[in-house]
This record gives sequence, C-alpha cells and structure tokens, in this order.
Amino acid sequence: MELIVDGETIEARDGEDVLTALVRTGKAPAGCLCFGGDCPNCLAVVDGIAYVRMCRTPVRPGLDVRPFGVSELPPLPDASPTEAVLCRNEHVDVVVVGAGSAGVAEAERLRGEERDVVILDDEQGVEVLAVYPGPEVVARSDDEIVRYFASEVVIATGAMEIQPVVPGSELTGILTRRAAERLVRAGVELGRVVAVGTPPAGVDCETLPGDLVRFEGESRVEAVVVRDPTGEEVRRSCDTAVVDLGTYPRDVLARMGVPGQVRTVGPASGEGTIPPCPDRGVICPCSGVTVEDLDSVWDRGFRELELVKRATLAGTGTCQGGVCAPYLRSFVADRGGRLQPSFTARPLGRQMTMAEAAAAAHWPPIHRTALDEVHRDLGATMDRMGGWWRPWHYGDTDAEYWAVRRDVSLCDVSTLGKVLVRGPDVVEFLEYIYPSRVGDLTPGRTRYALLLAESGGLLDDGLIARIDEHTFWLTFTTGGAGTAEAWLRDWARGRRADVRIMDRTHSLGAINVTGPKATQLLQRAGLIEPLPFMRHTEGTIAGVPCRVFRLSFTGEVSYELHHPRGRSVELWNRLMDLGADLGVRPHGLQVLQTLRLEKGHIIVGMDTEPDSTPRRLGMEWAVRMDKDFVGRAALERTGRIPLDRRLVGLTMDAPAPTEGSAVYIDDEIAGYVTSSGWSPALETVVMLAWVDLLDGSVPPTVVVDGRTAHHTPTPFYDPEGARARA
Amino acid sequence: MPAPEPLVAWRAVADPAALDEAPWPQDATVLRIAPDEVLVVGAGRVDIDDPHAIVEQEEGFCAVVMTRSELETWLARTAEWRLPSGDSWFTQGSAAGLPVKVWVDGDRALLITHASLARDLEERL
Repeated sequence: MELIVDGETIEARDGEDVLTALVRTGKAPAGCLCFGGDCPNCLAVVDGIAYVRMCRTPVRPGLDVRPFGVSELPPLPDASPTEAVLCRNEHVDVVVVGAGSAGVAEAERLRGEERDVVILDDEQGVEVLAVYPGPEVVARSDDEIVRYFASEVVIATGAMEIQPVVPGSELTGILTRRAAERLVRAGVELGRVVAVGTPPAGVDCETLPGDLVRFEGESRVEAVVVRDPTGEEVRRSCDTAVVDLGTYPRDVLARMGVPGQVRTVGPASGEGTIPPCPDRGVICPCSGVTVEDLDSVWDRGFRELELVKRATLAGTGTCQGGVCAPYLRSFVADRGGRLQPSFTARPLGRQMTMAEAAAAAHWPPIHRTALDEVHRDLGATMDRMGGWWRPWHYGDTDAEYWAVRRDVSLCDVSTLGKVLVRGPDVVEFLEYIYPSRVGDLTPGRTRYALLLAESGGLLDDGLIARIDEHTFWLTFTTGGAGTAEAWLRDWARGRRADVRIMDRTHSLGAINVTGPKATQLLQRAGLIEPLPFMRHTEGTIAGVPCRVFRLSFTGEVSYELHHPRGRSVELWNRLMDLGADLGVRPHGLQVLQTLRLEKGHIIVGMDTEPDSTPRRLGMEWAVRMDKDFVGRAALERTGRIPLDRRLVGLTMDAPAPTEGSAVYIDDEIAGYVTSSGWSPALETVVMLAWVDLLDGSVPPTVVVDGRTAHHTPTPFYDPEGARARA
Repeated sequence: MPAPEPLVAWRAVADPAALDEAPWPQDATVLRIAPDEVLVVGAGRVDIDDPHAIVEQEEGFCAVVMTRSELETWLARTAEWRLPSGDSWFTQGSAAGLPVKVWVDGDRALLITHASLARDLEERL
C-alpha cells in the first residue's frame, strides 16, 4: 500500500503503523523513538489532523502524512467545515484503561464481584483521550466520541521507557529497547546497532556497559559514548543506538483524575526508575525546557515540582510529562534533597479535533414565543434577548415609535416571567419577599415592586397583582423569569410558608397594547369598560380569554393581555385587524428601549449592578422599612453610610454617546452611562448613568464623550405621568 | 422522527399529600414533575383535595411520541444521565441542551419540552 509523506509516495505494509513505514523507508523523525505513544517525537499532521502520533496510527492507502518536529508548530488546518462527530454517553461501574495483563486481570477480578466493567485500549480501537472529575473518561473510536460515566476508573496502562536526556538526544536513529524489538519483528533493517543497558531481544547488537554520556552525529546518530565502570569514556560507531534506561509508570491519565476516583494497577502503579539528574540538555522536548531553565527557576525560589512545572511549562506539552516527569522529579530531588510526587496532568492526553471536542456540546436553546413566526412574517429583525428570540425592530423604527406615542402599537411581551402564588400564608410570604407593602392590595389592584437580594441589591422588578384573598399574580423581567420560581420556592421552603407556586411563563402569552388609542382598540376588541391605571381584570379580548393589566412601561396608556399561549396568534392578528384604521403597528425592543428610557424606567441588569440598592437607584419610594423583608438588614446597615453614587438622568445634544461611556467630573472619571438614546419626542439625547456624588450631590453638568451633559430629573417624558394614567 | 406537537394537559400545584391521594382518571397519564406538582395528560378534569391547589390548563409544553428504542438511542447521544430501569418510568433532565421530561411505558415513549423550544427540539432530534 502507498502513503503520501510530505507529498512523496512511500510503500507501507498492511497492518503496520505509519512510523514503522517511515523508519523502513529511511524517513525516521528526529529524536529517540519509543513506539509506545509516550514521547512527542513522532508527531505529524495526518489527513489534516495535527499532533497525531504516527506510532499509534495504522497505515491506510493514500494516508496523507506531514511529520513535524516537537519544537515546530504544525500548519493551520484547512478552514473548510468538517463533518460533525457523534457523541455517545455510556454508564458503567468501572472503566479499566489498558488491556494488558494487569488490566485484564483487574477487570476479571472486578467482574467476579459482579461489577459492570468495560476495558478500553487503543490497540483495540478505542483511544482514551482524557479523564475528568466524576469520574468521566472520554475516548475516541473510529466514528465517534464516547463519554464513559463511571463510579471508578482503573488505569492499567503499564510503564513507559525512559527517554535519554544527553547531548545528541535529538539525533535520528535512536530507539528505546522495545522500539528496536518491535521494528526488528516488523522486518525493519537497523544496520549496525549499539545498545546501552539491557540489549533488545532478537536484535543483533553490541552492548556497551556503563552510563550513557552522549550521542554523536550530524543529523543522524553515528556513535554512542558511555562512561564505563572505570570512569573512562568509550565510543562506538553505529547506525542505530538503542537505550534501556529503565521504565516509569505510564500514569498520565491517572494524574488527570481525582484521587479516590482513579487508581492504578500493574506497572502503571509502580514508582519506576528515577534517572540520574542530567547535567545539561533538553528535559522537556514539548516545551523546550533545558536543565539550565530549571536551574533558573529553582534559583528564583520555585522549589515545589508543581511550581517548577508552572514556571517553566515543563510537562505541559502534548505528552503531559510522558518524557520529562521522571527527569523533573530527579532534578527537584537532586537540588532539594527530597523526591517529590509527580505533578498533575491536564486533559487532553491525545490530540482532539474541534469537531470531536464539540461532539457533546449543544447550543443553549433560544426560546420562541408563540408569535415568533408572526414577527418573522412581518419582516422583523430578530435578536436573542434574555434567552428568547425577540423582534428588535420591524424595519421602520420611526413609525414604530410614533405609533406608540400618537396612535396604538402592539409588543410581544410573552417572555415576561409570570408566576401564580396561592395559599393561606401568601400575604405573609410575599410581604417578606418584596420590600413593598403587599397586604393592603385589594383584589383587582396591581403594584410595581422591586425584588431584592439579601445584600439589598436589586435582583429584579415586576408587578404584584392580587386576584383574590389567597391568590397573587406576580410578573418578572424576561431575564429574571428563569430564576424567579426557584427564588420563591427557596424562600417558601425556608420560611415554611403554606403556599403553592406555579410558574406560568411558558404557558401564557402576553401582548402589550400601548398608545393613546389603546383603550379604543381594546374596547373594539371587547373590553367592557376602561380599566383604571394599575388595575387588572379577567376578560375576553377578541374572543380570547385574557387577564388584562393596566400599567405602563412606555409612558402611554398600556394594557398587558396575558392569555393562553396557543391563542397568541389569533389574538395578535385580531387586534391588528381591529386597529388598522387606528394606525396600529407592532414595535420591537429597539423602540421599547427608547420609550422606557424617556420615562426613566430602569432595565435590571442593564442599568443596575449587583450592589444597586433602592437608595442608589433613587427608588426608596418602593421600600417600606416598617416591615421585614429580604434585604432589609442590608438596607438598614447601608442606609447609615453616606450615599456614594446614584443612577441619574442626563441630557445632551446629539449624537447619543455609546452606552458604557465614561462620565467625567473635573476631568476625573466619576461614573458611566448605562442607557443612552435619542428621544424623538423631546428632541434631545436622554441617558441614565451611574455618577459618583460630590459632597452628596451630582453637579448640574458633567462631561460625557467630551461634551457637556446636563443632570436632568427623570422621567424625562411626561414627568407627571398624565399620559399613562389617561 | 415526528415533529413535536402541542401537549394538551392539566397542570396542578398542590399539597404533596393531596397529590398522593388524588383520584386520577383511569386513562390519564399522571407525571409527577415535582413533589407538589403534576402534569396530567388525557384527563377531562382534575380533582385535588386541597382548597389552595392551583389547577390550570397547560399549553406550555410540546411532546414527541416515539418508540422506547428511538428514545433510548437519542438519549444515549444527548443525555449524560443514566436512564431509569424498568418497564415504565418517568424522569427529567437535560438532553441535547434542552430541558426534557421523559415518560416511558412499555415500548412507548413520550418526550416533552417547553412549547417555546419546539423548534430547537425538532432540530436536535
């Protein structure tokens, strides 16, 4: 069979690995070869995948192999899309990594205890890439990534041969003992062989007694030099040098795992050989770390193996210490007088493609309201906001804006959190949840309320609507909806409140009908009599059962229609039909941002920070300190501290500064803009901004974007609120 | 794989003891999604002996009917959790990044998620 190596065709034999084929054809890579998958000396880009170890890659016809040295970077991969890789999840009791004698014996023992065991071994087509806490073992087979979730992982990967670290180690033609035996079995001609240490079985060679000193040669090894027992250097010419420097546990996967979840058996669990500390040379070929580098960090005070590793990056390369771990331990023991445990290894232990890494990943889902297709059919530009697809605009933001201010407009607010709470303890419970008064709300009334964390910072805001003596309807922001139910349930459980809590966010749609003609439109749709501001009622609107809330976020008369999700399209279309002659049109979030900003309404998370207390927000009117509630203790404590900053309104000439722009007072940064936009109605730029207080107040003017901005009370638009209450 | 369809159901939140004792209609499928919460499929009405129970018609979920084998194959690719054993079971968790409820009865299986995620589920099946 033929392979393509660096664009050149070479012959390979069935069943052998790529590295054997290269050595056979005189194209062996530089450095000592182990054929055990341990060292980084046979890396290549194989069929476009970088960092593949050629010794672990069976030959296939037409395989495209581009070897690269350990100190080189492979070429960037082709940017064309790749096939998705499937992931499969398996649950087993024990994963044994390694099908050698120790692994098989351990698996048999465990099976005798009636434990569910799986054995993974790359020689059998399943290559373990990593071990994660859990424990979880990630492995690769020919066509998929498999994640094994186990109660225990046993590493039975045997022992690796120690690589030489002497001058000349980087020459071509150096093999470990096992590698030489393997090549000779494969029929590879090694030429004149000189062995240091135990000679390879079945290999015709000369054995040199003594300690390895260096290899000599230009690019390929030409001679081996040892120091014999008398202290004399002995030199032997050779075509191939074979070294046996002892073995060391192949424990990279074990060092990735959490102690107690992963254990080793067989040679992988031994202490192994700690080689003499080298005088010089490259100890970590992956990161190019020399003995001199190690001495440098040692002299600067890095005396623990983990710190030496971090300071030099030794052991952080593709082999995760496969070559350097015994030498690093030897170095630290030599300099510090104490043999330290080996260092942690990090996933991955083998190369992985982006497609493989993404095999188990899923995009976070984005919710769609029942009106999603309606918006898209209307030409809306959709965007992801708070975990939902929402219409940002419908193509004509001016028209959308003036429809709200002059006529009537619809907005899909189905994404708002909607929670029903009922029970004998409901008033007492909600009095504790909210800083507002709850008990004085009579059925049919609604109140805006803040939701505070224990720290006193604003968590969310929304409405409290009383339905009957024991039932309340709560709303939350889109972003806060996901955690609202959990927040309520946690507090209900903690306070042993006898209440039932049902999150209706995904069950109900909600449409906001807003504008001066909103009441007229709803009367056409069946609203029997106008609903006063901050009241709610049940009714049938355009044939759809709704809970109707009279409120306002836009600054105009507004009705929020909560209805069964399955009726959203019907309700929307009917309102659009009924309001056609009133100029009804939908508006998106872009315009809604402007409308609410003109009213100075905050958006939690955009205009607030975790430490935004009602006092800093200027919303103390929403807090009743004469009762206990979540966050009260923090408000009481922080209330005694002089106020340091506030969220304030600013106005200035166009253009509107970017949100996040710094606010300057006397050339010093004193805050930043949280919301900013042009107000068509007021014909000025309006902003909300956090501003540090000087002597307890905000000066009349500040500087934003290099221009003067005026401190302006909010609401900017209709400060008396007459339009919303009309 | 069939597309998700709206799930017609009752949803009730009530005192757990009342749910334990509730006389569910014989043909109904009752999924206990929390100690104090049930999703009842195939019932004309739901009676729970709790004066403060919240019982609502539910339109917030969608479902796909499939065979047990189809479900198990899909979950092996998409869910990290171990499936319950036995002929009939109900469980909940994340699969393919979606919050799902799974009911298996013999060879039949029902895969449920939010109606607002129907499109995502369809794409990931």
